[in-house]
Amino acid sequence: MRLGMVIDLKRCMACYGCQMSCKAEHGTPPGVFFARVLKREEGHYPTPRMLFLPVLCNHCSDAPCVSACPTGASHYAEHGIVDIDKDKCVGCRACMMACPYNNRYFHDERRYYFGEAGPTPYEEICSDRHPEGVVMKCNFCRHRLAEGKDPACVANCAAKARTIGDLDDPNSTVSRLIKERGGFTLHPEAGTGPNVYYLAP
Amino acid sequence: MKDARQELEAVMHAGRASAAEIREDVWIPSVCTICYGGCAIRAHRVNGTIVKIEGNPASPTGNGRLCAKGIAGIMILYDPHRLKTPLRRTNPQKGIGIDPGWKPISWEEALAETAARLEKVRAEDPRQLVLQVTTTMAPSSLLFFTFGWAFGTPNMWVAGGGVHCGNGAHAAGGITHASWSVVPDFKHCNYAIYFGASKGHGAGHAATPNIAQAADARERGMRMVVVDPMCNFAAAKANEWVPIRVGTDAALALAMANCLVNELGIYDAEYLRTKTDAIYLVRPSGRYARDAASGKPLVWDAGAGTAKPYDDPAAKNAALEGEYKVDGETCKPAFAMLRDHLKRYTAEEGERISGVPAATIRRLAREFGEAARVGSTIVVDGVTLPYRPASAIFFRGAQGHKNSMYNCFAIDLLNHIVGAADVVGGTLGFNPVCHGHPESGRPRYQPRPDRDGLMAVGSWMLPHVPYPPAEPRRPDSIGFTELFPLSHVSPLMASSDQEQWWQRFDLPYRPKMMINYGANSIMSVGNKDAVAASLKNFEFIVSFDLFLNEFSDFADIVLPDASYLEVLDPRPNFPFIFNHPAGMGDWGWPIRQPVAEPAYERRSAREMLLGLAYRLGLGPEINMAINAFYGLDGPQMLDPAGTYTLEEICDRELKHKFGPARGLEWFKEHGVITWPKKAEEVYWRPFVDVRIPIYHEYLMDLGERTGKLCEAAGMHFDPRYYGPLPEWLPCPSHEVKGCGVRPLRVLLPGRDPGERVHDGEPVAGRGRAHGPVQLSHRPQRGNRAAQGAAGGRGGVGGNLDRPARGRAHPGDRGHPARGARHRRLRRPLDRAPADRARQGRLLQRPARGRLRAHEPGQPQPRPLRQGPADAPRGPARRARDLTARGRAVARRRVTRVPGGVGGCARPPPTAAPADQPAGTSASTRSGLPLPCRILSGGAISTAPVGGSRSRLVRHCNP
Repeated sequence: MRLGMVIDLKRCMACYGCQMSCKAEHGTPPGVFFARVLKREEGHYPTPRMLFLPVLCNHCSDAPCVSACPTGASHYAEHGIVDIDKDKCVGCRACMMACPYNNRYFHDERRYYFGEAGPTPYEEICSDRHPEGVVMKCNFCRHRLAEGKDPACVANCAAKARTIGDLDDPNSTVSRLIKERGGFTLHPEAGTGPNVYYLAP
Repeated sequence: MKDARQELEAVMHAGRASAAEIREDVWIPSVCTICYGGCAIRAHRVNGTIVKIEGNPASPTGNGRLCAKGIAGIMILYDPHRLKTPLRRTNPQKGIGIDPGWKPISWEEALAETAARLEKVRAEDPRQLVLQVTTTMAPSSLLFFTFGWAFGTPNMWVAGGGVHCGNGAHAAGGITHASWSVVPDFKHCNYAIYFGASKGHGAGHAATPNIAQAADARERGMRMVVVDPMCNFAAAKANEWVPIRVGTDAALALAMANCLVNELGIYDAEYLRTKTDAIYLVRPSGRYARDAASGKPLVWDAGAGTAKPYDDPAAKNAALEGEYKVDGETCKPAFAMLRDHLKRYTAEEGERISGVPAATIRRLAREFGEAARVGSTIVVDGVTLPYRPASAIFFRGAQGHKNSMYNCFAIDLLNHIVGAADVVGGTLGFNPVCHGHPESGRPRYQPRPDRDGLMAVGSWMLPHVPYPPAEPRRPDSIGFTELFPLSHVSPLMASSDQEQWWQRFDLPYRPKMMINYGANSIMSVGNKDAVAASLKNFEFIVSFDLFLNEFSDFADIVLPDASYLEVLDPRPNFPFIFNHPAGMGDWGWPIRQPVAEPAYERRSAREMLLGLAYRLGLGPEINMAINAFYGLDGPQMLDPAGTYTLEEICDRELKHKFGPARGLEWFKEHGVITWPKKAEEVYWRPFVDVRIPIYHEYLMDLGERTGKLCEAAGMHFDPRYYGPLPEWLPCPSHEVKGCGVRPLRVLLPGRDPGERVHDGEPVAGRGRAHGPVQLSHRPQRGNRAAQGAAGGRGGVGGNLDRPARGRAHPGDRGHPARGARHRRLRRPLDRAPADRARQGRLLQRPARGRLRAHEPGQPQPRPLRQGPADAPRGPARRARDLTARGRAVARRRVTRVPGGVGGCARPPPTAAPADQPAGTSASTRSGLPLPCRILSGGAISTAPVGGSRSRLVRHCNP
């Protein structure tokens, strides 16, 4: 089984709900967004365009971050999910250099949203999940998958633009969507075999 | 290597305390209030701490999904800057930025002083009390309105939305759709035109539930056209963006209407005959021809060759066209009047005013008219219904102008011409008809006809309904709503000329005391100085709030309110006309209940107001007011002599609506009650015998009477806004000469203020800035030089967007590098994204940073990533970002308008008020970016946004 995600840009309404639901689920420090939305303006008046692209770790089949990791912290977990074993990570950030998608973050020091006022009770709980000096990134919400739930960004997507499923199964919803709608990946030229697919807007 | 099982367990428990420590792990249903959308949520509480907020999957207003702002609500709950205890001012001097010298006091002291003041005011004249509330609380403001009614003051307003909020859109929506707002029937609509609206894009009423519906429609292939000066979020997802000059929506809509009825001949005669006043005969005076005996408007029965009252069975075939003699006068059906009226609005005239090419106007009209499929029907849930899959909707963008009502009427006219109003595929109101829960039959409401057969709303949020309008009379309230009965928000509540008008109209009292509930009118009403001046006139102001904010500078006592996650409300979405998604599906009535206990001395403002009412001896009054507000009767009616807690009142309201078995306890457990909608409720227009005006005859009477009262008092009155047919009338945006493209003038090192600087022009700088000027539409957060000089983080590697972290002393909440006023104005946005919804602090807009993701409402934090992948970051990277974007933007001559997102296609042709942060920044290609902003008339300042006026360049408007 190879877990993959399909993001339907036709359905995405650019509400940023994925970005915040991911943040709330993982309780990441300020500035860290495992799932995020890139916004870009293109073109000239009178035909400018605003483009929104939700991105996250592509959980590549041939992940350069995994090969770059000297300690084995970045590894393939179940179903091809690329995850980081925090206990093994030494914070060398080789994986960050290797990742062509800029979807990894280095947690250099503890930071809280209200700065000197200290952590909120919510952050107190969350911050324990994120040790300092290690690299962090999306893990397809493995803890939710293990409970039979969809990842937070999928479950919360108000436009129902995200679907997760087995890419090895030709009859799964994700496989069907990719086939029928011509799903594409980001930067295929990097040759990493991304498992996050997009459907054209 | 850990074994797989161990690893899985570690993953399962990631994000929570270890299993052994979990004492409590519950999901509690409630309702969001980050915006007025009020989606149903459920909060995850672990060991007493809220760790997650999600949409409530059991509710049609939740669906298990929630927008970004709602998810961030935890940060309001736990914001360390929230008020903790009641505070009393020690410095009698009030003004923006003047330290009130807060002194903590007890609730008992605060309430005793407030009660004493209230008693004095009530003894003198209860109208001296003004109540203002914030917008997010408006749909659930039980004890706001009821307290005012009980106390006896007419002076209540929703100050959180300012004076621009909804005066046109809500009134027009009420008059023509019996609804607070309108939305396309996403499930069936094939062609939707949005005029300054974002329904379905995470904004406005039913914000989150509409996203899924809009996505479905998009996937299904609904064509969406967005008419907006800005290529905004809705336009980004539309098939077509139609840029338009600000405030000219009516001209475009009327030109389209003209194309439909006079060029293409597309209109729904059946709908116009049976559901509008199109057949009513109009006399040369402009008034309806009326039956001498009954006073009912007459229509022309062509078969019989006589005029008959509109409700005569023969009216079904009444004439829409022609001229007829009635009582010796030549009368025309209203539709004929409309056709004649529209002839002035040719597509070319539409182009002249709105800037939308005539060919585009004709094409849009044809596409809209053809998409409407006039005459077709469809079967929904076994009911055969008219099928008009085309919709034109309006909201803030179209209505936020002087010509607000006419803009909305003109746009909505498109729907009524093709009969696409509250039928399948057309424009739907937000649930104007509800037949109630199948067991209790409550809540039950639907529009009803007035004496002219025209529609009066079945349910409304405010005490006064939009139609029929009340008789204008000499004002009794400080906002003059009696004089202008169609409006619901008045500029006189906080204007600089209010005293003058109060004198002219002999207002027998002056406002002396205010109770503020979460609003920050300094920031939400246009002119902060005028608002500040009006607030200084109050002898005593009590403010229930979450934070100290700009408004607090004028409060005498500030009371720490409980947040929306800590309070109880049996009816958080004023059901269902305000927020409930339209279209088929389920009804859902959720309650708001506390998911956390208020910490410190925080208390629910509702309970405090209820307690104050009882303390003042207003028990009978408040109980009767609550009965009226909730429509309580029978066993659930409050006894006037009784004393009730908020819980008891909520319990009675819920039992009254859903039967004795479903009281507060039931709702606390279940959170929401749902039942299926019926086709007759959603597509109600064919089933409810009401008409709507396409010819607004009542406006003429209203205008005449209001005009007389105004003229008697020497108030200028413009009767053009009270004509029966919608017009385009110029708003200040068009009264400014020389609108269009202006050279930009900029204050740069080495240049004279006001000297012209063009994009790409080299600037020889003093200091560090030199190189060609680049224009970008992104406002910078502050002046780098000023920051650096003051010791802030202004270095090359630093981020302007990032709040400085140091603190002068523990009590200081803001940036040490900035002045006291800056601190107060800037801190909230830096720190707490979610509180803006409640607080309305908008003076500072966060920079929409580089092409990195950002949390909505949050500044760009310093990038955590480092290493070769990020090597270009720093000045070169910044310059590159600004350069690429800046060049494109400058060529488009983009200006950013306050309150908007993204760039607009051309400068708003108006001069924005000088203190508004219309943003444009100039930067140099090789040097550091120079934070600038466009002032009115195209002048540019390098002063920090929101900085002192003295730093601004003088206006250089040619």
